[in-house]
Amino acid sequence: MRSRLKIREFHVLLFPPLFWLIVFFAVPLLIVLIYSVSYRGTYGGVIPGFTLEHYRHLFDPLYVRVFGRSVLIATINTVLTLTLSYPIAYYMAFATTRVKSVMMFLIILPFWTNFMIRMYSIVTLIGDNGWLNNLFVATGLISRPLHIMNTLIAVFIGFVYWNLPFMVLPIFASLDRMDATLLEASMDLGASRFRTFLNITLPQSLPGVFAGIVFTFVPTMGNFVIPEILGGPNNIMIGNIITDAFTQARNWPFGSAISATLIFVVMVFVVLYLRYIEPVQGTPAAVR
Amino acid sequence: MILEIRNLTKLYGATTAARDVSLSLEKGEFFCLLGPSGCGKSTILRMIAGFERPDSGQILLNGVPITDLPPYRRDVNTVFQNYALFPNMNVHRNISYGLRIKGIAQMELRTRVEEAIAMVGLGGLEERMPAQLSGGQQQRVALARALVNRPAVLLLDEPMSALDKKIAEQTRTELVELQKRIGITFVFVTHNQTEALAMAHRVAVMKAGVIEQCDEPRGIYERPATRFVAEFIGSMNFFDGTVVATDPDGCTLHVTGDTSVRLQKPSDVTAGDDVVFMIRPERLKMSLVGPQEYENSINGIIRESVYMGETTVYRIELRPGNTVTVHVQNYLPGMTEGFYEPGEEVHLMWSKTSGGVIRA
Repeated sequence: MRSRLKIREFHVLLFPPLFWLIVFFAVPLLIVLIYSVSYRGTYGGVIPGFTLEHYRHLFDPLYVRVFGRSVLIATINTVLTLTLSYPIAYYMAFATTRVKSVMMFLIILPFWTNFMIRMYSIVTLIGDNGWLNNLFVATGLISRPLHIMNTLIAVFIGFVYWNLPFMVLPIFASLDRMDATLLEASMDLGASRFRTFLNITLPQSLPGVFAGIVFTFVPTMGNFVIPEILGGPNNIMIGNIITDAFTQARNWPFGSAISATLIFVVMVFVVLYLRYIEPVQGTPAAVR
Repeated sequence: MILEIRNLTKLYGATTAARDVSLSLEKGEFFCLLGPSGCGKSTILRMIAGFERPDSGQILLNGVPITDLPPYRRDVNTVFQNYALFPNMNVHRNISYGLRIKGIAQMELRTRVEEAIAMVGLGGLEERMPAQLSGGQQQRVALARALVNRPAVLLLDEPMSALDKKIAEQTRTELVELQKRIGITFVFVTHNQTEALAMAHRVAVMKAGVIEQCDEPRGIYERPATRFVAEFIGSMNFFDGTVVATDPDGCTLHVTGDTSVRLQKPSDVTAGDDVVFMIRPERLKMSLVGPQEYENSINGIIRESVYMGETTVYRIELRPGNTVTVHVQNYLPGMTEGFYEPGEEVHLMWSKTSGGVIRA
């Protein structure tokens, strides 16, 4: 056991990050909230005051529809990413140390390249005149190029690609931590490999799955680059409305109101989710 | 014969985990695989359980080959060294796991789990999670979780190595009683010789994948077949010697040069053989008075004495470079201090029926 003295000393170490959080997270959040109830300047800018007109404006069916679409896209994307990530994480957790580190390297590799560059390279890959279409046409697999760009499919390709590491890593972490003798114990007690997976492996990996879902769903809800670059004008999400409000319409209070609402809704989602859906985790098995 | 192992061999690269191991276990037997770590005893257990495949050889359970069956098709259950309790299930669900998998009806399931819980004395802890249990309680859950399935053979992989000494000793007695009562064949793996001697009906001592000796505890201790077994179980003094003569009652040896030793015990040596004479430290009697005619004796000088509480351990030098260890029971308080002093010359004596020989 650590002594009380030591724990108190550790508190001091919390001040810099706390300061950081307050200055760069809490204060801007407060500014957003204040802007969202302020008046809009005629030529952009914000005029101090109090009004709820921007929030009222939000209930315009156009915005409600975009918001609903965003939730739907983020949900489908989360399901797709989870489906693809789980087998990867599973394979990785039970692979040899060597394979494990190679896979870890491959998963982290994309982070070495700028996000925008990666998105534009997807364009060169899936565009009408992109590598994939050229290859398929050249090999006679298809006669005319497939229109993937500026469709929902392109948006999902982008999102799944972007989110994959954030889903794989937490699932891998929880599977890797698992005591492999638990699987032997399950089989020893008569459970086949599949039932052992359902009864033992899956429950053990759920904390990772849940973390991955949050890491995937939340950033996807707010992302505006992927729908813009890959989805084109017909596939905008709530993030695009926010950027447009700030940049094109120069309506900062309205942009702030959408942002505040988005933050609030996501927060409610996450809190409900953590409270009711995430399984109660006991302390890890005292296996010694 | 409930479990039969025939010529089991398993290699891991250059390491031999098992070489040509054969064993036969009777129903209701408490069998112990004993050996230092890395001797292959756990591998043999894992091959019986089905977690490892032998390179060659066969395992038969009730006369039926099970060598190629997966673990979930074998009528054996395992108590794991780290217990491997499912951390997301409480005690009751851990114990009922096997029965639930087999689809046993609720009524029977409940009775059998209650039985198992009572059997290991875990009443009242059904709702606890494994993390909320002590090491001893976790071990009982692991035991109940295996026994509730009523396996033909129960495999125990060093189940007491994680318990502290007092609890382990108590568990030892309970486990022996439990095994006697339920009559299930136990295969118990341990590196702890005391556990093996105290609990098992038969002990197989292993070294580097080979069974060195398989016998009752008394046989292992009193008549070790190899130098390894003699050294691994208890402590042992060794003397190089030569057989001078043999007769129907035993043999006469010369050890450490010209000391004559009489061994009144049948052995398969012949005159002229180079042998090693072995005698346990507690079978040696140390005295200032000379030997009786029914005793062997050798003289030496006390070089060291270590007070151990119940015994004092003396190192006696017989001649330069040749020392033996003697355990003397401290049955008089006065003997523990200033009775025998280093530098003193003493007689070491032992009965002519004590000790044994193996070929050098």
